[in-house]
Amino acid sequence: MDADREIVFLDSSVLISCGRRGSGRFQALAREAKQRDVVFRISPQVYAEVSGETAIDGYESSDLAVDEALREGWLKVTESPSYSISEVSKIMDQSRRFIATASDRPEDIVEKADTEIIGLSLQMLIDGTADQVTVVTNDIPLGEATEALIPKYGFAADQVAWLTGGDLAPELDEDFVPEFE
Amino acid sequence: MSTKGADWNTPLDTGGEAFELLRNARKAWIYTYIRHNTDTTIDDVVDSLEIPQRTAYDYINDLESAGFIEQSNKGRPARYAARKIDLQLVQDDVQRQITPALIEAIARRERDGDIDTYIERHGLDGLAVALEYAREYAEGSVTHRIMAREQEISSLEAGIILDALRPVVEE
Repeated sequence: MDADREIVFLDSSVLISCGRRGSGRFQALAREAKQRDVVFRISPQVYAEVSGETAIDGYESSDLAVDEALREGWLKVTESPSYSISEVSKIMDQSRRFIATASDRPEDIVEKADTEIIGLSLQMLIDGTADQVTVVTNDIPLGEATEALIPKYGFAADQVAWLTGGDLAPELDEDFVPEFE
Repeated sequence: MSTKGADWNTPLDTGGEAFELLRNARKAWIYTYIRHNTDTTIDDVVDSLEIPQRTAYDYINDLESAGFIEQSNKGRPARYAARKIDLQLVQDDVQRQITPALIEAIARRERDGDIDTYIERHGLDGLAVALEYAREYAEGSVTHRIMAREQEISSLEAGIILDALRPVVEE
């Protein structure tokens, strides 16, 4: 088991934005991992979302870049969260409700798997793998849920952080069409 | 009575030119470029888009006649400023706005292959719907996975178009 004290999770929204053709954003991610001296984690669901048969005609898929990042070692796929740990399962259910409320949608539009990143973050704090967890996502309701809910499980607010892609690396916010800036 | 370049500015003629903007990404680009770069010249427009100067002149004339852009100076070289476009199209129960944001999204297909692909797969209507989601996304009221489920597209595709349209809604 790793002794990393800071763990950084990337969500699909950020990886998908980095996979956009010719964006050079994956290089920015690699640089950030190196500078922060961390290995970015992704959940199995996120890995499935951005790779494999989700590639569609006309879009350049992220899967090659993700697999290369895994090979280069600055990205790692974690296990799924342990649903048998009651706090983990509970926070994922709470996150589902939080996201549904934030979106003003019925709860069933949000799947438990959507909130894996929060379950995993809490799990790593509980089992001591991490002292501090950062979740990187452009899905605002997911980021807000992370910051709002994890402290309720006995952790200090500064042990959990939410960053957008642009917060992590400015290249992730750069416009493809600078003429319209 | 004035001859060439009469000011159309009537609903149907304006509407006709607005439809032109929807289907002609280079015209959409010119309007959007002028909107973001007030007092720009035709030369600047031509440089940004790499189209023949004559085509640029024709397009600018059309946009001017429809009242979407206007000359902002008196001398030469002519400089242009954009005017707002805000039209509503209603068909059966469906209502769509033709707005500068939608026109910008179309203009961006000239550079952003992902927007181009999205339009080819889902049409302009699909793009208009995606733009509504992009607004919600920027406000923090939706996730890419929710959009994917509601629109019955993959979460990859939802993530891509939301990322592509983010600069359009975050002006």
